[in-house]
Amino acid sequence: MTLRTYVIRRLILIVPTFFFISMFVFALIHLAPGDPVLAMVRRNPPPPEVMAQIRRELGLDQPVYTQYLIWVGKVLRGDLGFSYVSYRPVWTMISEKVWNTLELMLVAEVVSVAIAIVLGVIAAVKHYSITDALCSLGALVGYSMPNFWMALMAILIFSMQLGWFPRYGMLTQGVTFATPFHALLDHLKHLVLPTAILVLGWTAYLFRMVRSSMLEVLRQDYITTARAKGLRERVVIYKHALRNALLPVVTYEAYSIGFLLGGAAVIENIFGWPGLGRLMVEQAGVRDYTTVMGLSMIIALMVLLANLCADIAYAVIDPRIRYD
Amino acid sequence: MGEALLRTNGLKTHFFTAEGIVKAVDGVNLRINKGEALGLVGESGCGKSTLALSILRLIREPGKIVEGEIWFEGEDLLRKSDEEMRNVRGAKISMVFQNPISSMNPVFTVGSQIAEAINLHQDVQKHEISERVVEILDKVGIPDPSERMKDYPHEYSGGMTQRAMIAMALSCNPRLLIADEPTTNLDVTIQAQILELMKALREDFGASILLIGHDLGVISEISDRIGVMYAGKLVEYSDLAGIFEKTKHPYTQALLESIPRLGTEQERLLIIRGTVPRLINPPSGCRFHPRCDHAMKICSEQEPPLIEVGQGHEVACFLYS
Amino acid sequence: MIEPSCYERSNDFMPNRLSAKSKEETEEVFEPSKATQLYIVWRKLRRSELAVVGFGIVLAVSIVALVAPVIAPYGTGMVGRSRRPPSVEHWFGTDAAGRDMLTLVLYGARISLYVGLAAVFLNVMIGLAIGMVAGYFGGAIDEVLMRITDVILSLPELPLLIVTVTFFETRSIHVIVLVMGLIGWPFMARVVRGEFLAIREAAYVEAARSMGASSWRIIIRHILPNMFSTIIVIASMDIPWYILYEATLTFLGFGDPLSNSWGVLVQKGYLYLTSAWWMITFPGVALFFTSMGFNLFGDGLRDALDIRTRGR
Repeated sequence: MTLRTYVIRRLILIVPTFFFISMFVFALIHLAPGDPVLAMVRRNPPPPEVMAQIRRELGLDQPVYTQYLIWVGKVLRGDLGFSYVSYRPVWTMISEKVWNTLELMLVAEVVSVAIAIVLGVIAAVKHYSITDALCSLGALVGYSMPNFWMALMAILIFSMQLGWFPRYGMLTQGVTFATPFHALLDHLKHLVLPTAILVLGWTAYLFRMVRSSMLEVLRQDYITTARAKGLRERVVIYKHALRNALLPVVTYEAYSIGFLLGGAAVIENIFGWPGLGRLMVEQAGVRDYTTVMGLSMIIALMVLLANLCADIAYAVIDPRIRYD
Repeated sequence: MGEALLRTNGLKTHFFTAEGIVKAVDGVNLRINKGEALGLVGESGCGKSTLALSILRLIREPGKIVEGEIWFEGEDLLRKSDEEMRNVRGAKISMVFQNPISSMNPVFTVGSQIAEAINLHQDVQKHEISERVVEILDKVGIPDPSERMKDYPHEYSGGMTQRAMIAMALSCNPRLLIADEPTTNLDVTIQAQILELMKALREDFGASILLIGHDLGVISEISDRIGVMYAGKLVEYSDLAGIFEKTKHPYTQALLESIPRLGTEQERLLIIRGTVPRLINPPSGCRFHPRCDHAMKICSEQEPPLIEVGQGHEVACFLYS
Repeated sequence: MIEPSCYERSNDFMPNRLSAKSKEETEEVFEPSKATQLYIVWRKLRRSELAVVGFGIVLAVSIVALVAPVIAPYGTGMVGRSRRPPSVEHWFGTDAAGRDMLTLVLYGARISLYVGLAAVFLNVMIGLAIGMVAGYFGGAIDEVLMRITDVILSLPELPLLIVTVTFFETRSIHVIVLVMGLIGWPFMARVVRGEFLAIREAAYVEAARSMGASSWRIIIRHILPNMFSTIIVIASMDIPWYILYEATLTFLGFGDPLSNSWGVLVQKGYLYLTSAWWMITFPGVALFFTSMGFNLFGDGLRDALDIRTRGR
């Protein structure tokens, strides 16, 4: 099977997976006890006729499968519904925030991957040394720390006490910047703390993966063969070993979306970063049924895409996988 | 006896583990002559693979070559720098390993891995490298080499992979080819083919071979001389006739006797009583003495030296000294 | 297969060159006793100082949780002035309602540990059931179950937890545990299925089957015990995750404010971030400490048992 065939097959798989996910999200929400409409309008309950109308609009008076099909149909057309709490279309609410979250996640991802691979390889090659021990311990610490607590501590120290970084948001409000460059600089300062917390957690996770994968690969027979050919140790490690070691890491990258999104939910909340994570927490808090559902589908879609990319990347690196 | 190509002198390779020091190779004087094939025989765990790796200085933590010399082309390999050793590996001395499928990197094509070796050691133009790869794959009997070189190792069968490994090892015209149990993991029929191949290639390339294995029958197919190892030591060394007809060491005798012969009536299969000793705490004196029918008092007290008992026939046993 | 006549010939059970292969096969069929296995694991664990430290921490936290009422200096009610910094009377300071932080942190261990253990327990139960069913029946059942598993597995856990908890009306700690148990089983199910399939192919299972053991018996006596170590390792590595998830959920406002878990303490302390830093610092340290302990222990356990899975 060539790479092209594999990619095409993989793309086709997206369809049933998408339906599975949508069914799951739908089931999740409909299985939960409680009347959604009542929950949504708890704050100021409108007269019963309006409630009945909302019910009809949401299709709650119809059997479950019909509801599902209607909903999926709308989702596929890009209509994620209307938020009865904020009185805005869900899609608008999401699209204005999605880039902020993506920015956070992308920066965190790139930095994490770079650090994790470099340190992971060094730690594996220098197995049993002090460097290895220190890195592994550091990773364990980063991995065990609750991210919200880390964020709060960071704010206490770096923002409040030392004043190096701002406390909230993406940009300092109510200030005019001399040049766009100054604005960028200000934005970057806002980016540091939130990204740093995300990076700490994710790097710890990835590092452990890279290191253990590398250790495994370095034990293999073909590494001895490479050395027996007379290759420099550096070539053996970075050409022969690393490529094999990165295979499981690529699989794990697919989980990065999950990890980073979860982290984003917390981080955005604490730092007041206007992104999807904060949106989800806020809207879930006020029982904004439709927005949460819409967000779930968007997140699911992001996960699907991430998995697809990971699978394709894997197939590119490992020729064995294409021959199924 | 011919001129020596490689000679080890009191080679000791020990592994420093948490449970103790494993004396895998404990004072071995091995000799491989020019243009000759030496077969090194012994049971699993007797140190023959460690010996092979030691020659190329491929021993890693927790192992270490603690003592001895390895003379090759007038120089002691153990005194060479890392860079000098890298020029030896793959170019002057190459190695073929036991498990061919796992010995090739799965993410690179077979051709590229062979080309890597050629590119490293030989002054060949880029465009000529592919030709050389095709040439050498053809020599080892890979059909349709110009296409097969673009394949990945998992697309090859076990036998073919081993041929490719041999091709890779011979690609830079080494003086010595070390083959560590090259046929053990292959089917018997393929085994025969590979052995034939190695015999033919020996003529072609004029290299000496160190063939390691545990099956005396298989080893003797190619070898001119045979060395018998037991528990980290060389116990007997001779040419084929010497080993098979004028067997001296009790262990070698027992090995030969335990092979059942066709056409003879045997009530009971002969065994060597006892088990192979753990190399962390080997028996005192001669390591074979607990299992030896001819053991004498001195055998448990002192280690027998390797002495010459005939024309190029050496034994380490107090029965002869 | 070795002919039985070979065994008849050599009277003593000494390894014979011809039947050397059969000796190796024999060794595979006989498993060392459970006591021996446990002892070997214990020795390996002992050698890793970090694993020992981890175990010590886990033990310490467990003991604290058990005897909290006994060792806590005060009761959980109001005992002092509100928002006092750490002092001799109140090592961890007091919270907004005037309660002693040290006491609260000690008591919090009970809830957080309960959450971690209960959630993982649910995961194991559900995952075990589904994994074994998938492995045993194979075919279409396996396909469907694994597809579902993969879907849930790929979804981000925290957002999933948030979504699920939201649509439950009640905010009770037990609901949270239930939700975590219902969301987290896919990983365990995958692992169990993998182990099941692998062990089923093993020599001793074939031996048991050839001796006429029924499928049920094989599962109980051979397959399940051998999955045990993998399950234990994964469970111990999951516990800290769930403790942290509960804390995070609570912090974000989806938890049970009456449960007084460490997460609740941090959530309540958030308001006083700058004025009363001790309200979030100490519960946070407790969370970190516990999580670290379990992770160290889990790592050590995994190395000692030599488990290789696509693990966290």
